[in-house]
Amino acid sequence: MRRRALCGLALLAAAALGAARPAAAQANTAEMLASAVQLYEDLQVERAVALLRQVISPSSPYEVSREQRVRAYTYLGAALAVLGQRDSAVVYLRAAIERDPFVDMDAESFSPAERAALAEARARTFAVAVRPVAADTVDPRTERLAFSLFTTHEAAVRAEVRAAGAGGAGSAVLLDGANAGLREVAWSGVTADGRLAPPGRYALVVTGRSDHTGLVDSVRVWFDVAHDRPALEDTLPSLGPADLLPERHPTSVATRDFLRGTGVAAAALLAHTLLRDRALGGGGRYAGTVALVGTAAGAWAFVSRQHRRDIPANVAENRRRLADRDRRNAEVARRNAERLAQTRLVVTPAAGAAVDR
Amino acid sequence: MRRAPLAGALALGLAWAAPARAQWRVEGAALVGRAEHRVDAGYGVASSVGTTLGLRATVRRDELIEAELKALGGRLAADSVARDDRTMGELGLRVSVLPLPWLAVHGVAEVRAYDLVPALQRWTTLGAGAELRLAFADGALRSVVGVTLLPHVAASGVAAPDMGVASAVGLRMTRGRLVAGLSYDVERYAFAADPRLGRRREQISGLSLSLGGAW
Repeated sequence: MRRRALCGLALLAAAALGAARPAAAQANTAEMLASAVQLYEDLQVERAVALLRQVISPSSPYEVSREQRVRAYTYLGAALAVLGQRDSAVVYLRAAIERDPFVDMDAESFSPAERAALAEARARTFAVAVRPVAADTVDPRTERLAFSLFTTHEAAVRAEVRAAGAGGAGSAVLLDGANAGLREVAWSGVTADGRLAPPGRYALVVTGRSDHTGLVDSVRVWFDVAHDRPALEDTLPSLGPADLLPERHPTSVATRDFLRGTGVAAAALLAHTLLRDRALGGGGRYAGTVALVGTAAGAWAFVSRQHRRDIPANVAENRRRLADRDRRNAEVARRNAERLAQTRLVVTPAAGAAVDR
Repeated sequence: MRRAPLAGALALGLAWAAPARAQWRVEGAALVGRAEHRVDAGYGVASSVGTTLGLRATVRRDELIEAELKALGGRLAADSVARDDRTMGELGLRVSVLPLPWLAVHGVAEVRAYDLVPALQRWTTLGAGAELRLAFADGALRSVVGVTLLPHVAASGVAAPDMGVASAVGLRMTRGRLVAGLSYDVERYAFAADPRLGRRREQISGLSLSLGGAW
């Protein structure tokens, strides 16, 4: 019973120690690196070299991040350059460049000999790099989106913005020529076909060919583009039958006109029949005349309506309505064009892998 | 009892006189026609026919209220040398209310005089009625059918008729400012029976043509 408790305690202690190790590992690497840099700056170069070798050693018990490794290689290269071991210094500096082509030695912290070693390492190592895209909002009419690219030495470089999955559409070439070192290229947000880049995912693809070695390297940085503009208005829908007046009389209107004309005839004869005094007589010619004229008027109205079924007033009103709708839609289109012209590009780094080598 | 007609007349007058933004239409027309007067006073049917001339003026406000003044006159020749010709003169006022575009309800007041030498016979009638006005041919033509009851008829020299009824059927044409019309009119009066002469019968019918303008 007691032995089992002791074994359990031991297992628990081991698990706890294991969980704490990754967090402590990088902290220890950072401490070692800081100590090494301090030793280097205190001109205790040999002790700095020993400590730096421990940091980068494959048997090191501690985890080393990419940035820590690049820093270790850089200082190791600088220290070896100070110790006169130039070839070894160049090797380590090349390793640093391969991992981070932007690695640099400022003149205040490093001697000309160390910087010369770095220059030799750059000359012998070809790499292309791009800084990650920073979030920005750009007015394409007056502003540009800036990208920073770098080549370790003279090279033929092509920098191109490509829309993801567009198969070439939505691209723009920012640089196609010689470059050495750091360079800023700008993009107006307009694609090769002159259109504003539509919203979506884009990549800045930089490809370089070394003028010294002929080696080729490329890098890709992803970013997203969105549009920011005032809301657009909807145009008016097409006018349907319910929105327009009938332009032609139905055939029943001719019949109605005929009945109204002949109705007069019937009414005249009816009035003569019902209202006149039969004993007195008379008035028949007058009623007959009105009946005849009424019938003729009805017949004329019927024939006339059959040949002229258009309703001129409604035709004119419909034309006015259509013209009014067209005019309003033209105004909406004009306002929308103004709003589209105010579109700003909202650029954000793409989630996930921002830079691919 | 007296108040109702007074209130109606007052309302009509106020509506007529209401100011501002009223749409007025004035028509004036000359009238020419044929009139035929027939009467049987117990001595057989006597008829007289002649040409009439007249004038008519109509004022309409907002297509709601209309007033028409008509003056007509002519000489009607008797059908027999044994009977006298008669000269007829007539003055009438009609006021209509148009509750619907195709319906007019009217009241009429008319004075007609027959100069039967040496006697002068004066008729005074008051009545009310309605008129259908149906437009067709894109509004260029309008059929008009009206009936008027004449409950009050006073005639000098004869006993007043019990009742009168009048009808007017015709066509009106409007083309721009030109207004023309053709109408068949008939008026008939029913008198009480006279024990000696029997029942008097009297009617006047006619055909009138109008031609004028509107503003």
